[in-house]
Amino acid sequence: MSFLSLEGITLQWDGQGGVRDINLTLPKGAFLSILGPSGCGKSTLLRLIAGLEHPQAGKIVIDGRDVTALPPAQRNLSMVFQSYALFPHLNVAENVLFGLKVRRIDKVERSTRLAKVLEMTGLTGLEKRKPSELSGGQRQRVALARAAVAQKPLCLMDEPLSNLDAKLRNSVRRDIRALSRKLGLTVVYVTHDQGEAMSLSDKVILMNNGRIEQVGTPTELYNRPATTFAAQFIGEPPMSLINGAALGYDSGCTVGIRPEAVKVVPAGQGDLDVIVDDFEFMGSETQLALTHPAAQGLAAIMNDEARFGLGHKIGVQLPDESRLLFNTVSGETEKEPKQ
Amino acid sequence: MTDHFALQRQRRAINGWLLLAPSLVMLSVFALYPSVATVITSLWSRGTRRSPSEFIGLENYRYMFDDPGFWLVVKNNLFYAGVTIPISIGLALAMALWANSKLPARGFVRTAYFTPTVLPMIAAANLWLFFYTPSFGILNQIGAFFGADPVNWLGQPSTALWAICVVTIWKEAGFFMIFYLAALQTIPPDLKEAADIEGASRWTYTRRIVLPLLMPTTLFILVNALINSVKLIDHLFILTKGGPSDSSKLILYYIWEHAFAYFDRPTAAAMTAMVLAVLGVLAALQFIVFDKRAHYR
Repeated sequence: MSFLSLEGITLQWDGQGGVRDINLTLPKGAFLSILGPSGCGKSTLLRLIAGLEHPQAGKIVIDGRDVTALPPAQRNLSMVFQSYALFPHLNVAENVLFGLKVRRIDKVERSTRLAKVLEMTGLTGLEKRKPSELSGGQRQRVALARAAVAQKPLCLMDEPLSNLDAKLRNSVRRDIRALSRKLGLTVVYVTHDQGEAMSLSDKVILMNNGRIEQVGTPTELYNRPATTFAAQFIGEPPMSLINGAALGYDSGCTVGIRPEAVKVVPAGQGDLDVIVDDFEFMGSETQLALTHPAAQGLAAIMNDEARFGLGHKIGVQLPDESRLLFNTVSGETEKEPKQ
Repeated sequence: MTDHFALQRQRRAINGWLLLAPSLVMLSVFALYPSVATVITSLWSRGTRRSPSEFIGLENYRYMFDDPGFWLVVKNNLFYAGVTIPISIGLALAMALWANSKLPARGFVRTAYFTPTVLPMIAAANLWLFFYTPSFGILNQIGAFFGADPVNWLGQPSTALWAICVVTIWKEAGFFMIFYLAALQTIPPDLKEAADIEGASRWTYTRRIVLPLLMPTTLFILVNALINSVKLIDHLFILTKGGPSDSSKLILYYIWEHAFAYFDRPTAAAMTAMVLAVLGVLAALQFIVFDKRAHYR
């Protein structure tokens, strides 16, 4: 039984931008990430679900109710904004309780819920602070608390971590995950950061140019990218693409391979001879950037500390079972790796 | 070494004074000196060729407080302030909220509201003189269309001050609206969206979010309106000259009469000093009271 479903959602401005023909279903309690480069329409899609924008075509169903024409307040959802959208003149407690006061929930209930969410988000003791007196991470927690206190079954998050520094991002990320599990929330989470999307979600939607490029679990997206776009967007470094002709395939196909599957061998002993362009020592591993006339973004990951001179010629072995074949013209997967 | 540092310090001091000099000169010549001179003049008697002026302490102030004319203009001015300040601020806020929403001809609406502000007060007064003229003025013509008797708005004590108030409100509301409009545009739109998601009505959003965020602007406008209620009297010269029977005479006009019509400078100086003191105290009070409730970003 799906909790949230979108059917043929379209919203475009002057025939461009926005989103086109989006179809999607999500079960209750699932964590969905909408991932994509900037300008791909992921925030628009979230705003459409929230009711802050209205689609030109299509239908939005939340919990069995057609909400396409309803205003945001009647959709039974909460939202966390990228800019937090905290009310600057209200203190933490007033910010969190704003919605409950609007909905005239009685005072006793309000204070129990407030105490609970502040404890959950680690904000206890900061009730009387104004947003301007809080750090970025604390503000973000207030925004989360405001969404959690509403006890709505669906929570929308619009790049909630993008204004935080890297370290804070990891800790708030864990908080979001813990909170959504504890409250049994269905979450739709917009991000351009694949690390966030992969680590948080049960399901990921990869968007490009207003369309859905691929839907699947993080593992599916990583192991079986549906298109060359997905292959090159996901993974750090992403999948390398090699012209099929260089490896003895039909020239109408492209071979994709994950850097960790690439094996480095002495020159002449592998499938291709390549030039070492750059290497980065990352602690547990070393990343090699390689160049070959037929390859795009070719990289290899080595676990030992072997070093090569820049411009050195080495060979790479591309194991058959890790190769993915794409149609060069359409960009779609033709053959999945042999398991 | 010491010499070097001393020289450096000296040079820095000179730089500081040079930077300070322009405003210091301007303020001293045009604000500080006249204020002090006013207070001094108010403590001396009116000099004539036969009896030169002499120091009489607070005598001029006593004369002022004993003068029923002074109390009449104070009463008029309080009425004038009491009517024009709240109405012009309320109107400005209403117009700003409206002009800030998505309108088809938003630019036109804003310009239309702002036009009275661009007009010099004297020109505005001439315009309104035409509106108010008995019998063939626009107001009476509209009245006549509905069968009302002609009213001499400016010529009778019961309506003269009201007529003056209307001109001031008409002139000021558009000016204050610009400040509100600017403040409204600094409120991020996602606050409205967040309130929408929480289910807040338009009215709740305005009352709980917008008005508190406009508080610093309101305070600024309030101080300005208060000062203007004393300062803005140009239209009196065109419309009523304080009449009939002093019913529309305001403090500053009264001061002007004393200084330049009756050449009684000490009395005028005493009244000016009084007004300055009262305005200063009021502005300070406003800042202290509202500062606690205003949120500054």
